[in-house]
Amino acid sequence: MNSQEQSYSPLSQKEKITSNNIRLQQIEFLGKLNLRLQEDDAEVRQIVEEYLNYNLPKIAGEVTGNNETRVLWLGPNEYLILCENEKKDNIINELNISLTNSFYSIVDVSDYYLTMRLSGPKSIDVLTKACPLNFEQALTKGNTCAQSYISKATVLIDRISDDLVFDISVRWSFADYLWDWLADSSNEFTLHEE
Amino acid sequence: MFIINCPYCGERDQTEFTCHGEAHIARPEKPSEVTDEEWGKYLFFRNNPKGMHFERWTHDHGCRRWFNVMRNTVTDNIIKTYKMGEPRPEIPNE
Repeated sequence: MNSQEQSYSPLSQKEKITSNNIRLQQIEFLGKLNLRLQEDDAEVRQIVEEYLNYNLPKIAGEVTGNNETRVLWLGPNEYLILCENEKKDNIINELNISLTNSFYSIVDVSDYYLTMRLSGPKSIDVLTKACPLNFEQALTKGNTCAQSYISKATVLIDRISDDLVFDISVRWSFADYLWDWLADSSNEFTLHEE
Repeated sequence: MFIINCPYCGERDQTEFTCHGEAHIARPEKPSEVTDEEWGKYLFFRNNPKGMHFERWTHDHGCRRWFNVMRNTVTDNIIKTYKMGEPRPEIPNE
């Protein structure tokens, strides 16, 4: 049995939203690795950057990446590496080997969070209903991320392209609630489409 | 809505933050050697100024870092936010 057949999530039974204004779907099999290092430790940074082949984000809300992985800024000494689920063990092992004598931590948090993708021209209208972010300051373009909350759920929002496509990661126990909230808030835009 | 400037994330809404009481209170280095009175003072006694106050806050729904805030308790104006470990700023003359 492969991993896909075994997968189950609180969103498995949910119906996708596929209208012109708003689309909502679950993103499955996304590997998530939490990487922490000391803020001023240039050596560890360099080893990680050499392994990934690109620079770690330097400023708040920055996202860097290539075709295989993405790195999100979570804090001044904390990053989230996104990758394919099958490749995460490989990344952990290889980083553990090259960072053997350094002060760092890398934790597999893939199962802590579920990711849902909200997209479409009305997606910001849906988010601003209960998210305190100022969308004229934060998440203004592709490859930016921000942590905040939507209604009662703490979320990490990753704008993956200049088009309005938001990957929203949330603790899995909040996923059912957040999906229903987003679906409910999208109603007004999906029911009366022009 | 009122806006707090997180030293790490920038300007965010107040509801993303929590206040955790007075800042710059050092734990006695050798707790076994201080008197009960000194220990009690460290644990329970806090300033309650009318005017400038220094507080510890966390950005719970954002970067989850702790930082310090200089706030005027009369007007609720936040004068300054600064990172943990940075020295207490001078109180400006009114």
